[in-house]
Amino acid sequence: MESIKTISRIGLKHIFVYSILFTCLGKSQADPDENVQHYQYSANVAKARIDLAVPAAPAMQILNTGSDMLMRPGNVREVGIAISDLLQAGGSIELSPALLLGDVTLSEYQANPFLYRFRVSVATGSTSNGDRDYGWGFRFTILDETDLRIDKQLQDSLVKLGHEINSIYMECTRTIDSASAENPIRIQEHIDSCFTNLYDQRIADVREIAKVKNWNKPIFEVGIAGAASSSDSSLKHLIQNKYGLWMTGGFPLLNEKGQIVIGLKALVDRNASNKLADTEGSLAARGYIGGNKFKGFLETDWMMKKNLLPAFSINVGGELNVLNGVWIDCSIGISKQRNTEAALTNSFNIRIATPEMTSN
Amino acid sequence: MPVPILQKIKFNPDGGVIKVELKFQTMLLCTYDLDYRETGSNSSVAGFPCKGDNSNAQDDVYSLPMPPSVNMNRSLWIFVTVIDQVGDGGSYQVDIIITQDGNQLGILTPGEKKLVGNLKSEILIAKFIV
Repeated sequence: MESIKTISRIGLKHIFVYSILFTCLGKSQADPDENVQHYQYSANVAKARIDLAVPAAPAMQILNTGSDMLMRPGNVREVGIAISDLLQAGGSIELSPALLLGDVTLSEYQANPFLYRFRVSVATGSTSNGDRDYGWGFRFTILDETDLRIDKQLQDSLVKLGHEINSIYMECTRTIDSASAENPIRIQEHIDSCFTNLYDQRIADVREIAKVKNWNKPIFEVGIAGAASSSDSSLKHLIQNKYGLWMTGGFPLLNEKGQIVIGLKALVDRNASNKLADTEGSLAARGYIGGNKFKGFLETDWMMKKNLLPAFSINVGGELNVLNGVWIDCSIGISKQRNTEAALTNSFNIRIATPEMTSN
Repeated sequence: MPVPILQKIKFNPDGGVIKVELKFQTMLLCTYDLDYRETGSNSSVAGFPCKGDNSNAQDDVYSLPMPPSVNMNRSLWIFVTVIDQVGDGGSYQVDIIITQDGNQLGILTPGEKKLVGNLKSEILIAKFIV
């Protein structure tokens, strides 16, 4: 009954998509394999939806530590404190070595963004039997045309505004008398009397326009990570037991109206016979239509794990940016594992990120 | 608007060319307008004002008129506006280094600062004396 209600909410136009899907899935049902297991349907297949993004800290992802434990230190001193916390309490840390070690200027960043976007992550955690887990990871942003720092058009607009502001100050200070010109406090008072703060909003507006324009520009990221565990803290018995690879590409669709995001994830784990042979892979694609504030999406993902039957899902939904830093996303869809019935799925999530500074 | 930085710079009227170099230690966007004003007046010396920004790798170096003695009591006004291009904030340091014949005559700097909001302006003034 619940499924019927859900389908009626989906609307007729999606039935066509589902019909195609059921036709494809019907073929796989006729191909049973006794040597493979099924996922626990309610718990696992519904979760088969794959996160398309290369994780913020691949080391954390491979250890499956909570995202609230991620630290992003900004300077060398903070790194020292973060590592000390990490070793004692567990958690993860992600940093860009090139940004951390060098006093980077804007022109240096623009000349070599790949170097400054390269991030290293480290994570630690404990298992239930007292073993210590260590994770490491690298994140490479090979291409990111959404980066406002390399947007020349935005930069030219902001440079123009900056000179406009400087000119106002310059002309204002021309009317100052020569006695006041020797006194910084009187210069400041004079300037404050002839300057308005409208430019703060103008800069926020120009940046917002650039964001709307850039949201679906090409981006390509790769992340790799490994996890090791040790039965003691001496690192003598450290055994590497997991490797992971993530790849994400985003490309424009219908000019500024849409985007296609493709994600790939591969994991190799140590199995019961102590060999790095348990493999897991997933591939997902998502098509967005909409703007930075609201996007509708259609996504599909496929997941396989050694000794388990592959699972497939297709979802349709939307993402709404309700407040600065707050998104709501909801979707409905169908999940299917080979040799099992298809199931209707739905999700509703509220995601919260650091609010973006828009004006003073 | 922060209090402008005003510094008197002693130079050798019989020495070589006085050079002014602007250095920006930041990933924020900085624009500057540089005005060189006549003694006891607010009018600009010929060839000024000049402007630039930190979005290229070229050095931001300017030479003051020769012979050096003509610079007596003139003042250099540097208007810098720091802009947050990305929206993440950040810190910045702007240094104005004045040299003559390879010797440093002075540095004008507001020191390392954090940008709160979308923009911040700094005014640095160098008055040339002997």
